[in-house]
Amino acid sequence: MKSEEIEKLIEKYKNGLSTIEEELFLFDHIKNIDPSLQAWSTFVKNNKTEPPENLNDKLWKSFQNKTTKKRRLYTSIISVSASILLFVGFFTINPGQEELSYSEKEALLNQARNMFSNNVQQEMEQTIIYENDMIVVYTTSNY
Amino acid sequence: MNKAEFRRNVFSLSERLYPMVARMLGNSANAEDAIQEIMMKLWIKRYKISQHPNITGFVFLTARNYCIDVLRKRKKEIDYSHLHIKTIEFEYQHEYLEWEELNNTIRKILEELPERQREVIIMRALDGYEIKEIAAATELKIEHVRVLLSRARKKLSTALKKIYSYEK
Repeated sequence: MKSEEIEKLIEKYKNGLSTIEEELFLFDHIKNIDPSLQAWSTFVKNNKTEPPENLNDKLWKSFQNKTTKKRRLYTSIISVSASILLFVGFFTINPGQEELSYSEKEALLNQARNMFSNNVQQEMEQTIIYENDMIVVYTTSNY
Repeated sequence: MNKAEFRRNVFSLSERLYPMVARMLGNSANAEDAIQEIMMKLWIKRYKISQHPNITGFVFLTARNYCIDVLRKRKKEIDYSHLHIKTIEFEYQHEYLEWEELNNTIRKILEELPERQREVIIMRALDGYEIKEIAAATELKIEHVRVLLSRARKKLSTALKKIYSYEK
């Protein structure tokens, strides 16, 4: 590039109108043209901080771990609290065993009675002595 | 904004943020952690961000504000234009001395610039940011950034000419 064009670029640069590409180009071609700009370009080149290689990918990996860990933490907190609620609820809300109904009691009693020898009563002969609407009087005798 | 979109539109700017964050915090080792923090802040706001007309600009603004906050918390004097000191290996001692002299001279000139001019010229030269990115990060208008940049460059050039022109 001719020095005229470089001069033009310097003017553009000083007015804040040059692009980044133009500035990089200028910094590479300034030698022996403008010592002050050359000094500045040396300073810039040596002080620029370059990001480590593959920084985006590297950071993304640990970022993803962090966000999924957080989600995992939320899930486990929710599931633990749900189990505690369920556990506590089971003991407090459960009213205990209900009382047996009358017929169930009777059935249970009969079952118990059947366990004993139940022939005794059947083997008794009943002789009715007196009977009315209210009462029955009878005698029994064993064979 | 889902995770893939976040990665593409926001997280991919990590490398672009790195020079500024490392420079402002003055430590490259902290820069990666800082970027993670910045990204986490942005991730939480991801649904709002997706409506933003200038997502890139918003990312730069968030990063700069984060660094300013960190510096405030450190209770150090806030110096937005803190320069990351690099150790460069030189083959010869005189090369090193020359470099050190140049480095100190330019640092001194930069320190004498008005704060905004200094920040703008450094963001452009060392962080490699576009004018509109600087405007978004500093919450200034694009034209204002251009004016600041132009003034800073002219002042810097005048100051350097006094020192270096006789060597021509």
